[in-house]
Amino acid sequence: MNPIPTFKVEPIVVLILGFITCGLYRIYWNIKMAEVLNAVAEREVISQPVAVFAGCCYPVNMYFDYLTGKECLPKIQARLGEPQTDQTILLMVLGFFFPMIAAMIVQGEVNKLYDRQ
Amino acid sequence: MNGRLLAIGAAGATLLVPALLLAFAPQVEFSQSVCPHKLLTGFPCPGCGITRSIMSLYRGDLAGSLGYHVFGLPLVIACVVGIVALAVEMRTKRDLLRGILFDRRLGIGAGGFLAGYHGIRLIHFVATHSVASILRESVWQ
Repeated sequence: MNPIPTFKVEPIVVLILGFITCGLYRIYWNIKMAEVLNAVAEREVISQPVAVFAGCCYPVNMYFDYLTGKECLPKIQARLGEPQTDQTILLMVLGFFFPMIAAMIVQGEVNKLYDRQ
Repeated sequence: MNGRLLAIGAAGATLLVPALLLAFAPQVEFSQSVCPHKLLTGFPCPGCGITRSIMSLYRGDLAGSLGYHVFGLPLVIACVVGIVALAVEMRTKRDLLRGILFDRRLGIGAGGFLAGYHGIRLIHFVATHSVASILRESVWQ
């Protein structure tokens, strides 16, 4: 298995930093998260240049959330030995109305990887 | 679902949504933003203005487009090029975009440019808006 780049942040911190930096933190978060999710999936699933615009542009945001829910979160659950659940629709709906909540869910799932180590 | 088809759909929607708004609800350009971040805080997010920028571009108003967001024009070009290249990839089974799409330095460069632009925009926004006018752009007033 590929080593996973360390990017452990409390989900609430993602929310708070997203707000107080007026979205600047989300740009950094998207780039780092694309790197982590590609490592988890063991292939290039999410393009970093595209990830930059997730959170800026709704169709790109929905695309990012779809790939995360469909291709990456099941891989995290498989690594953790948990039953695989499809959270794609949840992430896409939350990503449309409350993108910061979708980011918190993804960060929470990724954090489980580091908690297990 | 085929990843390329999905990417074509996302790029197509990015181009189509502003066109539909321009055709059926042009008043959106001058109405309250529906960005969740702006509604909650009154401050723009890094993407605020991109839809309006593309709508202005479709009207042929380049200066207006750049005024709303400098990434409107590059995004339209990227989407058009992306759709064509992905369609060619699907037809020829060759990877044309992989080197660009998964270029880490390009991602960091685009992120840095967007962050810098947004930082300048925020300074300008704070300098040109009063607390009352910022609150008026949120759901709190």
